[in-house]
Amino acid sequence: MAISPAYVTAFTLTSALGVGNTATFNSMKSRTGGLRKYSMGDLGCTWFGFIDPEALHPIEGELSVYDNECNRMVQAAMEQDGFRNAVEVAKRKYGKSRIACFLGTITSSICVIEKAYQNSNDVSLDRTPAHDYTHNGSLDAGMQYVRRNLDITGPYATIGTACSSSAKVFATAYRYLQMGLCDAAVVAGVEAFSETLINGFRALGVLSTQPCKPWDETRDGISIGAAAGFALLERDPAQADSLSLLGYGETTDGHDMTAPHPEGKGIEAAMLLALERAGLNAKNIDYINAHGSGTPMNDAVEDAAVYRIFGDRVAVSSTKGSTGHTQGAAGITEAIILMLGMQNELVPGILNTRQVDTTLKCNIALDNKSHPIRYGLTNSMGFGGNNATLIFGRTA
Amino acid sequence: MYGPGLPGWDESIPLLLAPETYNEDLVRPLQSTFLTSSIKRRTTQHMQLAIHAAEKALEGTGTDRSSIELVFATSEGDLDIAHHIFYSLTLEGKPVSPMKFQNVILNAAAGHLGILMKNTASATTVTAASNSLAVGLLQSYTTALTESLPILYVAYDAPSILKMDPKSKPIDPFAVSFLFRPEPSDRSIASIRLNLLDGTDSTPVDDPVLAQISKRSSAAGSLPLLIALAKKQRAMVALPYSNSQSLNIEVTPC
Repeated sequence: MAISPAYVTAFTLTSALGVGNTATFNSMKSRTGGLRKYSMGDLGCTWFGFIDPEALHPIEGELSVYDNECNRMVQAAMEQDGFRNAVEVAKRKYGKSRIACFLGTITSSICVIEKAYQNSNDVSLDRTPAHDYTHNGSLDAGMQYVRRNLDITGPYATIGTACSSSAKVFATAYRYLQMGLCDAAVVAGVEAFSETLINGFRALGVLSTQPCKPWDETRDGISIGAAAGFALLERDPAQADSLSLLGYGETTDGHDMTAPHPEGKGIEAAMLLALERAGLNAKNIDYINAHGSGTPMNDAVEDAAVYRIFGDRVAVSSTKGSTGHTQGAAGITEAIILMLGMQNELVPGILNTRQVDTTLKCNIALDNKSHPIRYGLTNSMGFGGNNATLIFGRTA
Repeated sequence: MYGPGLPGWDESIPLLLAPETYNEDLVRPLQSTFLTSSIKRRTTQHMQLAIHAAEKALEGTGTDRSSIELVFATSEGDLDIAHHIFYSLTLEGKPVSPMKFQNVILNAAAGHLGILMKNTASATTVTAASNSLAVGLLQSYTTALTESLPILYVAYDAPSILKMDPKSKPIDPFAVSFLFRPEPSDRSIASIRLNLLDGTDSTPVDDPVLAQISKRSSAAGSLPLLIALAKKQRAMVALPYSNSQSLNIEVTPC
């Protein structure tokens, strides 16, 4: 039996595609990706999805203690698309203690700590540099900035499940709404540029030296991107054509810390759970925004799992060639891109991919397609074998 | 549970009930069938605490380890690993260890445990700094009741060799784990009902030595709840949840 929906009454995305939804959609429509070449000096180069630095301003006033690149992204993002106003309306309606907040991230503002190490003359294996950890660096700091900035005091949690983090925030928010612990929930995903992510994936041998090309026969790894995405979930729709969260599925692979299950059984189970909760069949789904990180293994595994359920009927694409893999923010980044596609009847095609790997079977959209999306599905797959699938729908 | 002088739940009950017998210097090594020498080489104390506590909560319950949903809570990721990575980034070649990179993520412990148990259920790791225990507890409770599923909840904190936070005080390795079920069973110790309340009430621990222990990490902040469970009496326990709210726990022994 289907669960009752939760309604997405506001959402906004700031990423390499631009600041806010209009810029994001225009980039998708014009197929203007946001990846730029990034030199790592003697270590080679990669491609990264930077947010326009012109959009990032210092945090001033009483919250200036939280000023860092990550929170500047948060500040910029929350000002777009009437998001702050939507939260204010919810606060007036329900009270600020009835507004929950769930944020997904991997690194939060560790960029601050990285800089402290790099700028210090006194750091070694047995010595750390000084910095303000509580406001800049702690994984909890970003959450505290969001709650204080929006002045909301309801239930909260920072979720750290690697690349599924900001998909799982939607499922968490749904449960808290169902329990009556809140009447609205801010869900968010944030990931800033960090040397840790760049060099960590480089050490694993999965950082591509070219713009990532999911599903391509020559794909060779990920491109990373920065993003800050926000959405507001409520039990009631804001208007007749509100988008809704219809279903979610959360699983793990129980297989390996970095490699997905070789047959994609974990993500397959997540998709089936989401369909079950949504009360939908595979044939109801009009578009799938895949995790599609661009590694040979991930795309093959996800392709196999998607094909087992959906065959080659439904259009599938990964938008990581456009935004980069936004890590802890990937879930909400791709949920919002899906929702923008639903609002505008646009299936976004994969960027950079020229020749789909012939061993893969899904119906890959290489170009944009004008197509109504009544029900859309998005996958996220993270380290620790952590998987999450979300299904969104149009009510009208 | 595992903490200084608190080697496990059954062994700790008499100590919690008669704290004059408590000796915080008695430290027993972590023991878990999962903590083989191979696993110990690949993990740190931070992760091993969680793995140890998780197995202890499941022992003798007949729970299917492959399908139990997990909620983990910790104040921070492994800060020793984080330091090693940050230091590596200052060196020529930026030689970040792939093993350390995969273990620096917040859900590293849950990930390793899931592999050891061949678990394919949902696993969620949360953090809220010093409020992580209560935030994770409400997360577990909410998940158990809305999904009508048992949940294994593990809250854990470990000291780091170096201070990432210059203001941080020394903490003890501490882990507490609970197996929650939405329905009572013959193994149930108590039922709990949670409520978020305005204010910063926090149930104190009467014994001064245990009170100090309870303040040294978020996970150790579970001591008021553990003492209430040990006493097998109805109790109301308040845990700090945020700067303006506390998590109220109504404990009813079964």
